[in-house]
Amino acid sequence: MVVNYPGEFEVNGKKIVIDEDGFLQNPEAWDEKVAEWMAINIEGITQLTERHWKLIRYLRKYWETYGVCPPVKILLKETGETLESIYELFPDGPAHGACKVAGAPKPTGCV
Amino acid sequence: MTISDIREQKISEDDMKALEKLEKGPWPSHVTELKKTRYPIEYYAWGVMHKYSPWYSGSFRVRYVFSGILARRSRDGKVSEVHFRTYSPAGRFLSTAYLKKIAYVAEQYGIGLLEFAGNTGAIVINIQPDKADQAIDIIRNVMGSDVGGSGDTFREFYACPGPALCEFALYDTLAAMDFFRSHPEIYKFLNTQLFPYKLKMKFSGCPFDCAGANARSDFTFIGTWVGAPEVDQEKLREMIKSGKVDPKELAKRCPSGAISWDDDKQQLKIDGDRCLKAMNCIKMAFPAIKPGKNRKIAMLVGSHAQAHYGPRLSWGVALLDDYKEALPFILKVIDIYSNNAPRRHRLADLILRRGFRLISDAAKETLPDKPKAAPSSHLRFTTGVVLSDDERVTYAEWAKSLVKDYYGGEQ
Repeated sequence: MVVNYPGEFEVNGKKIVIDEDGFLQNPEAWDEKVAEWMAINIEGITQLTERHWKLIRYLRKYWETYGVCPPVKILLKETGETLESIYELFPDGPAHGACKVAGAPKPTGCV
Repeated sequence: MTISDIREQKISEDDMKALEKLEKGPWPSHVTELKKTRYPIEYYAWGVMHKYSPWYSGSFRVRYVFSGILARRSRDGKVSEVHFRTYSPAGRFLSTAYLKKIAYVAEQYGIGLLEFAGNTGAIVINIQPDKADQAIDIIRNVMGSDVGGSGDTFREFYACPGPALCEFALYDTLAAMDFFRSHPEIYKFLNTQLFPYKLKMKFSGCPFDCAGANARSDFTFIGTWVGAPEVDQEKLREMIKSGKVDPKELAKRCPSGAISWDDDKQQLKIDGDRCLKAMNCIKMAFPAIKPGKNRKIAMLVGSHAQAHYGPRLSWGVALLDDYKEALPFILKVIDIYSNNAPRRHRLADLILRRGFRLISDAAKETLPDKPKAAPSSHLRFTTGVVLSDDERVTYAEWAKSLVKDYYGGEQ
């Protein structure tokens, strides 16, 4: 982890706010450059492959449509990944790794 | 109080003075106990004084642990509190040796505080965030338990003490709970969040339902029997003679009126077809009236305390001879639930939206030879129904006409 959060950062000319747990506080500022920055600096993923992007784009679209992240089972069905392969791509898992990079805010409740 | 007051969360001496009141009196005080641990009591005092929660939700992650860890942060961001839920043995039998191990973990890696509460999430251990990794290893290797039971998983199962402590137990609830919790098909759902929302499973040994299974678990197993309770007439006569039991009271307390007392023959008759298994007669005259010999396990589905459409009780599904027969049905229902339910909807919400036929079809497929419940043939109105504007006007007019019929005029 390269950056210390919480804090405000500037990525590609956009101001983004990261909270104590590394989630994006202003999701409207998200774009693919921000996702790349978050993956490298917060999640410690060195390179985003096409499989990463497929997951991230699907999650972002779902989040923009419904306002929540999809259940994991739906995510697996739509993207054709398995649970193990998601943990290989995002070591923190679907909610804390993939949804974080896709710019969704922190999940609430007992997670 | 303004928003900036909440964000700054200034801790003052006056707040702590307010807590002194809670330490007085001849009863155990939570403030006294919390002060013995390393719990940040001044934040609790701030919350009490400002009538506002000192905590907001946080998130904490340990790599390769997918559920069971919950976190809270103070509003000024200085204190964070992480707690684990750990699994406990079936029936909540905790030996002193096991408790000593839990106390060791809480003392060494946490703040020295334990909580034994609720039906889910057995024991909550408050952990210091930088020692969380080691604490999990100790819990797994030394305590012999695991962290889990939060998030969209199978929550901690619960079984009543059953045959270990109780004379009414009609099947082995403890073995049933262990069978489901250790089964590889169920086990994978225990720690990975694959459902739209939580699922619970509870096991009650008899219709008394001490585990509260009928009201608050998605998959419910309650021991029951078919037909009338067993009556030992001679023993009952003895009990009546000694004044322990009043036969008229027995007949009166039966909710369906299945019990009748023959005064000439000195015999108690119970109509098995009308018996509702209310257990009132068994409670009043236990050794003389016992549960029947033809024992079954009633499987029910879909009750909860909190969900999208409010609390509700279970739907009955089938009568089983053995709890192991339920496994294919449960896996089928899990599949239906995860494919169809929206996020944050419990199983019963899905049934309310889509109808009980969803479950009864699955039961027809997976439990072919068992007595089963059929879906209602009545026209179904659900809370999930959304009316168009035209329909809303029609219904409003219809309701008005009903009022007019009853009261004769506009009301």
